Amino acid sequence: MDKELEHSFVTQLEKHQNIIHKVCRLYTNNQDAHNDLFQEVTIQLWRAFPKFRGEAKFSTWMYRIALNTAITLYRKSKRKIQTNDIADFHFKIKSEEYDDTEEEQLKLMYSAIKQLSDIEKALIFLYLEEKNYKEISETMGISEVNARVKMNRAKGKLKKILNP
Amino acid sequence: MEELDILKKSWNKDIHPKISAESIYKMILKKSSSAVKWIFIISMIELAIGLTSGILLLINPENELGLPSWLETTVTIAGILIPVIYSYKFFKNYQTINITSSVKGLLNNIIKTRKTVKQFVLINLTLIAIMIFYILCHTLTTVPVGIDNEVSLQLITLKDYFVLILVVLILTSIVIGICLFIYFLLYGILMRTLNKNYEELKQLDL
Repeated sequence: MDKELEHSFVTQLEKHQNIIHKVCRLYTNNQDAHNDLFQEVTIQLWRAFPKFRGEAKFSTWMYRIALNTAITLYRKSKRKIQTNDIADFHFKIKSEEYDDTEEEQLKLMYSAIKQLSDIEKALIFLYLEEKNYKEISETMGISEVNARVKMNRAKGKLKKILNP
Repeated sequence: MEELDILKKSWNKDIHPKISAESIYKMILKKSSSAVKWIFIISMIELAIGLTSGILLLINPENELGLPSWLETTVTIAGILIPVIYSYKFFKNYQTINITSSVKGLLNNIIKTRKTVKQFVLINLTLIAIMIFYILCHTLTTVPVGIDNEVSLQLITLKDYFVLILVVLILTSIVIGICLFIYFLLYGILMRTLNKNYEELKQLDL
């Protein structure tokens, strides 16, 4: 039975792992930290898996655990982060897919998001995942109105960082 | 926001190398390094120390510490009741910590659990402070065997008593201060991010 559960978990996680990578991309600054957070999220998901009843989609269930781990449980790496790490990490996008300007804009965008608070990062993540305000408010534990206010503030902050 | 839309377009593209099923199998066998795990371990140590000190007081019926009987009874009862009540409260709160809660709900439960243990530690420290104060007073005012009580009492002036109380207070403060310093240092590191994020969400709901 345990083997079956293990197999089912690993298969689903392998399929939806991009969700965790996207969370790690926003909350970490280098490859080691990314791997650490990925591992911690995986452990937390595995622990919670026996209680997963399939009422929600596996991917939806993953959002909460991945975000909760990044915001509350993850102990950030104490190693000094080099400024290059932030800009270069995660931008191993195949050159034919993007032109230089777009890639440059993406780099700037990621470095700007990394300057936001943990909560603002979560809101931007949920926005990029195209979640509606009801889902955002449920995930964050705040009212829909406050989710809207906070989201607008986060976007405004990003704009300021990008256009000082 | 134009820039965010550019990011949205590329957001779902797999840009990170895929992690194999084999690596995922290995990961789930590893131990968690989460902050909550450490908060739980330290809280358990605190509760264990509280319980041990309560038991030690119980199995030490002779009034060797020189405490007045009312204080000894209070300390003994508190030594049993407080750890029992707080252990129960701690485990009840700990059970409510659920990784699938909302971000605010999870932070709230962690902080609530932590507050329970914090209260327990502060009550214990207060009891320890009272005991240290009495023990020091008792030790410093007890006339050593062989010295005439009358003579020694004549030699002690009011000023001496003030100095004595001052010394006792300073020594008690130092002991409690060291305990608090270690305590806040330990939790300051673990709780900093949690508190910061919780405050941000709480302020938003005001």
